Amino acid sequence: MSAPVVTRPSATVSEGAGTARRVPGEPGVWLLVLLDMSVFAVLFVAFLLDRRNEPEAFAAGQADLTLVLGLVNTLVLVTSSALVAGVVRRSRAGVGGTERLLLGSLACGVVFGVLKVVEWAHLLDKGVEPDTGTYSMWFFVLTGLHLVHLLIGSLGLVTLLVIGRRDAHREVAADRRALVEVVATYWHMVDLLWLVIFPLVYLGAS
Amino acid sequence: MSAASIVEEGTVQSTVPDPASAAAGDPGLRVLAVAGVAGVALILSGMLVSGYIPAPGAAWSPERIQEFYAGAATQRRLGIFLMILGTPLFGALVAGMSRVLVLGGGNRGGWANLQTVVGGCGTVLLVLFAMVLAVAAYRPERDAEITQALHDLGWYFAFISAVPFVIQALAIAWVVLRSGVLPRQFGWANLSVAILLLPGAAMLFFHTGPVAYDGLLTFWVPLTDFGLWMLLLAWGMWVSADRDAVAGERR
Repeated sequence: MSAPVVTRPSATVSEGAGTARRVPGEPGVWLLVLLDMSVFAVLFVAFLLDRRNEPEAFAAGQADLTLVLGLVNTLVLVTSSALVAGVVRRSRAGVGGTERLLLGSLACGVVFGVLKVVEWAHLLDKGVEPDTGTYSMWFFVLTGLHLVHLLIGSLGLVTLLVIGRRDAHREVAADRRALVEVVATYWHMVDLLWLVIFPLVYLGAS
Repeated sequence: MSAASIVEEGTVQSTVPDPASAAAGDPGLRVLAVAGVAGVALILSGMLVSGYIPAPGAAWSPERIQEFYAGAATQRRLGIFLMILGTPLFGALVAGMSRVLVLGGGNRGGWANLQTVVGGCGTVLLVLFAMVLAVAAYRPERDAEITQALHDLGWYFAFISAVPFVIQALAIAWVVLRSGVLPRQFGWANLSVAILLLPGAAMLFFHTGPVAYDGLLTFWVPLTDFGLWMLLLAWGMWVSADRDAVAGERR
C-alpha cells in the first residue's frame, strides 16, 4: 500500500517572455522568514528607542559583556553559513560530499550555543539577570530568541543529515533539493539576525 | 471496505457520490468551522469588553490590579463571561482538524492523534484561563495580593502555555506538508504560527519589556497570531468539508 503522491507546486516566478526564475526552497519558507524577521525588526527598533532613552545604563550593561565571545560567535556563524551554502551548491549540482559540510555547520551551531550558555552563566554569576535592568532584559530577550532560532535551524540540519544517510545510494530527488534550500534559507536568516544583534548588543553603546 | 481504510489509503473509488450533493446533505465540518470562528469572536470581544486589551501590566502593583477588577466590575465580568463561552469552542477546531488530517491519510505515525491530544490540552488551558480570571473578578474586595495571584495564574494559563499550541501547529504542518491534504501554504502558515507563539513561554523571566506578559512577544504577537490561526484552521475545515461529506456517504 503506497502513500498518496504529493506533488510540490512549481516554485517559479514568471519574468515574462518565456523566462522564469525559481524561488529557492519553496514560497512558504519565505513567508515564514518574512514574518519572523518582521518581528525581529520591531524588536530592534524598540531596542534602539530604549537605548536612546537610557544611554548610560546601556553602556554600563555592555561593559559586563565579553566582546571576544560575541566576536568568536560571529565568526562561527558566518563559517557555518558558508558551509551550508556549500551544501546547497553540491545539492543543486547533484554531487555528493554534503555530509561533512553539514556536520561542520552543525558543529558550528553547537559551538555557538555552548558559548552563548557560557556567556549567560558568566553574567548570572555576576548578578546580571533578565530582570536586572533594561539593557540586561534586551540582552537576554534578543540572544535568547536568537538561540531558539538557532536550535530550530540545527534541527533542520540534523534532518538533512538523516535524510542524506538514508538516501545515500539513491538519486537525489527534486523534493530533497528543495528541502536543502528550505533549511539553508532558514539557517542564513539565523546568521543574518545575529549579524544585526551582535553590533546592536555588543558594540552599539560605545 | 470501511470508510476509515478508504481515507487512510487515499484511494479513489469509481462509485464516489457527487461531492456537491453529499456536502449539501451533511454540513459536517462546516458546523465545527463556524463554531471555531464564533469562538474567536467571543474570546476577542470578551477580552475587549473586560479591558484585557491592552493587557494589564506585568509590573503592576497588587493594589493597581485590585483597582482594575474593582472598577467597572460588571463590565469586566460580562467580558469574562463571553470568554468562558468562547474558549471551549477551540475544541471544535481541534476535532475538525483531526478529521481533516485523517482524511488526508495523515495519521501515519500518530500525527493526527498528537494534534488531537495537545489540542485538547490547549482547550483545557484556554478554559482555565477564562475561569481563573472569573474567580479574580468575583471578589475584588479581597486582599489585593490574592487578586494579583489569581490574575497572574489566569494570564499564565493562556500565555505561558504556548508549548502545547506550538506542538499542535507543528503536527498540523507536518501532516499537511507530507500528505497534501490542504495547500502547502497552509502547512507553512502553521509553522509560522508555531515559531511566533514560542517566545511566549519565556514570560516567566521578565516583568517589563517585550517578553513581560503584557509585551509584544508574549501578548500582542501571540494574540494576533492565535486569532488568525483559529480562522485559518476554520478555513481549512471549511474547504475540506466536501471531501468529508463524500467519505461519510461511502460509509
